[in-house]
Amino acid sequence: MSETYWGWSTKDDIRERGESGGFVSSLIESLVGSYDRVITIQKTGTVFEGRAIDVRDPSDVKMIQGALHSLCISMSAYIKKGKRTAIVLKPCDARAVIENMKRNHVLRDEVLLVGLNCGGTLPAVDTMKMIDVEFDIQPDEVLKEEISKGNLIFFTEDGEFSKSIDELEEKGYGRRESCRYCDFKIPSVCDIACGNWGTPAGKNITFVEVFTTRGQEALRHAVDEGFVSVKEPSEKLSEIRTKIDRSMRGLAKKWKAKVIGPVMEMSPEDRLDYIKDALSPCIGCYACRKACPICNCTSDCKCMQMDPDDDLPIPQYHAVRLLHLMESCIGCGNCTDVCPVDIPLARLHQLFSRTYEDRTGYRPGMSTDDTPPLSRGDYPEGY
Amino acid sequence: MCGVHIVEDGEEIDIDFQKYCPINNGKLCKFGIDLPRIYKNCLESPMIDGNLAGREEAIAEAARRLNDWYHDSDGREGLVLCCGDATNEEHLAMKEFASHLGMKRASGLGHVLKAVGNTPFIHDIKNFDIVEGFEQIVLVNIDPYYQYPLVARKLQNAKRRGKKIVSIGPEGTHVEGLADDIMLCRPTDVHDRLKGYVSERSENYTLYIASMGPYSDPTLIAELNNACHGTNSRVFFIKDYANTEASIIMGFNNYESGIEDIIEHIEEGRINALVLVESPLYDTYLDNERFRKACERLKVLVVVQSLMPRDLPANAVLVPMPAFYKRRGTLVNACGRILDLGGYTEGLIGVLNDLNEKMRNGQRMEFGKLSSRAREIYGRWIMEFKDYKKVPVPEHVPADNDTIHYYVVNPFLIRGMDHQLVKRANGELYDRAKERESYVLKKNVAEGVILAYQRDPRYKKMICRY
Repeated sequence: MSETYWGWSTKDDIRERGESGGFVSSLIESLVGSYDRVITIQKTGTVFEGRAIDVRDPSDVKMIQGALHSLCISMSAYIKKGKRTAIVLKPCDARAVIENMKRNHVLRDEVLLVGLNCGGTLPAVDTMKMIDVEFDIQPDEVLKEEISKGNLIFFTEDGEFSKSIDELEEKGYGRRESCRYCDFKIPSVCDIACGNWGTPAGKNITFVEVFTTRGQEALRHAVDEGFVSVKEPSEKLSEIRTKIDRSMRGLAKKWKAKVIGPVMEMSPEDRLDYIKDALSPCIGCYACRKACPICNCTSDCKCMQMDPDDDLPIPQYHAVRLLHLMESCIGCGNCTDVCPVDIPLARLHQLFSRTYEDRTGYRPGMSTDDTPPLSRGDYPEGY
Repeated sequence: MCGVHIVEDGEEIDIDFQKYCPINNGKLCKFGIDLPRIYKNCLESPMIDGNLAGREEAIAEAARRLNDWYHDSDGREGLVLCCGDATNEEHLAMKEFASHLGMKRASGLGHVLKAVGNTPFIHDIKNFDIVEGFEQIVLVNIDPYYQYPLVARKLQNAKRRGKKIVSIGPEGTHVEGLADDIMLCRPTDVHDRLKGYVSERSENYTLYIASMGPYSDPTLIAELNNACHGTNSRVFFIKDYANTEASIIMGFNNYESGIEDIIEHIEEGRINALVLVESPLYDTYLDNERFRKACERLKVLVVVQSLMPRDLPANAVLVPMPAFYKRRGTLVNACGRILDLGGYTEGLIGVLNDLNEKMRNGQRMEFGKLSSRAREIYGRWIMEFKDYKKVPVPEHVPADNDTIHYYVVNPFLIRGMDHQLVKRANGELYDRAKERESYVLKKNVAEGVILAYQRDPRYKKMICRY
């Protein structure tokens, strides 16, 4: 099922301060009390600083408004089995939740997934440096930020500062590498997906797509209780939303060719050397495992029985992870973000998992009904 | 200090990566990743002379013993020893507490401060990025991968940018592939090699990176300081404990001796009362049997800490305090920035206030006032970044036949924690090390027997040297 709406908060202050009419903020407010936990991101300082919070009181909603593209928090880690949880998350987080459902770490009936459309997130520290160098503004001067029509926009008391993301990415700034080639922009695996694509310019409205009956119920409750208002979106702008999504996915494909393509085109020997070289600085901290939203095994996990710096061509710790994640890596990029020696781990994992996807057609994190080919003994040719 | 979120979820403790922290971009070393396990093992049970006790009881007994010592110290000294795992406010509270009792205060850096003066050790090191800015980087007796992985990352970046990296130190420091020039030497000879290197070099724009803590060699520290005097070079001293820099800024230390001398002073009976705060040296000093026995000679031993002890001296009164992350207050990080720790308890200040109350010793210390004073002192300090002053280099004590202590300091070791990859040397290994010829040397300071490592083959190789 899929139903689409334009939605906005009925409260003036939330509508003014919130992103795209404050629909998500007010939806969260409506869920407090109905779930054991309502998890979202709270800004704690500048727009580059924040953390995940459990919204306990409707008044907490004022702390959670606005776009925070530099806060790339792995939200799926905040869902605990046995706790009914409503959570706001990015498409990659949502895919991680689906993978965890397959592993019985998360129960479908216990969660409400409120997804946000995502054109990509930004590395916080690099972005803070970037706005100094490229925009000549300091992080604490930024009141609000936004990505719109391919531009990165910062608002300060002195006005609006905008630059093309393409231009910034040419200079080595812009989105995180994994976001550039991610082609899952509208989180259709969620109960509800929200975003500003397909909304009338300057109208402070959110485009809402509902995918499940659980999503329908949550939306109906929010409308009936007077938290949000919705109306049918225009056909023309709905088509524009589809076009934006298509165009973003097209761009991701180009980035995939640019980032992963050259490694794919190497000879097997050169590719092995590339992987060995990339992994050679590993110091065995296990941060990649800790940050991975899929790796929810205990410390008894097979990979933990291996030394990260053994004398094998590819250390067994990484070999086990590369193979295990080949059919479950959702490409969130958290492993790369947290690696203390800057190993491009997400690129390596995606090298395996995208190849696997190309050969089998199987894509992790898209449906709880999908069974990975290796699990059903359906090996692709050449494996 | 690296940024990390500690996530409390009922009984569960976890971490989340603080990717916006400019020091570490959210990246963590083994220690950071292991914080949940460490904090799960926080101390809950007070003890008196090896027996479990209630908190009130332990506070009352500690207060009684300290009070008795205050009225009859036999003319000996008392010491509050904290190596740096305390907030700025807690350092000031310890100063006040010690002052009322007529005790001295030690951070374990007394021997270093005696050599180079009570001077801040941060000079124009605004953040770790500076590592990449120097033309030449000299690693002095450190293993960046094992001790400071986040600096190792910056070193890798610097190397990629064509900067020259030199390493001076013993074998097994994992600098192959990183350093362009490796100057191998025995741990006791590092200072001589450094001196030779400094006198021969022509580059004026060098960053030296060295460790500073209770086991540091003051001769080496003084040489490094002087190498930067009157030049564009800088030395980045990475401190072993979370808030070592602030212990200097807050003027905490007034006992001019390092840990080795403090042990001797206890053994000789010069010190007969010790308040040990978050410094479980009976678990972490490599000849821990010696440290424990020395402690058992004390008239009064009060241990205040948040971590579970393993080899607590039999005569200790043990008072638990909240884990570091739970404590309110500020810190000064390795780059000289003041940071809010983000905790919510009074921590050590609460414990000291409870002791004071029982002893009717001074007025209750208020967090707000301590915090204002700490910020005031920090504010004065930050305005006075000084140039490197030339200091006299302490005479290098020639090695004798004692056991060399070569500490490859890391957060697990100095807190006495096990780790799946790291385990402290056991007695057998320690004894074997003492018998081996090659490094069986040492006098007074610093270098230290290596740790034992359970699984990591790199470190097994290092142990073989002994």
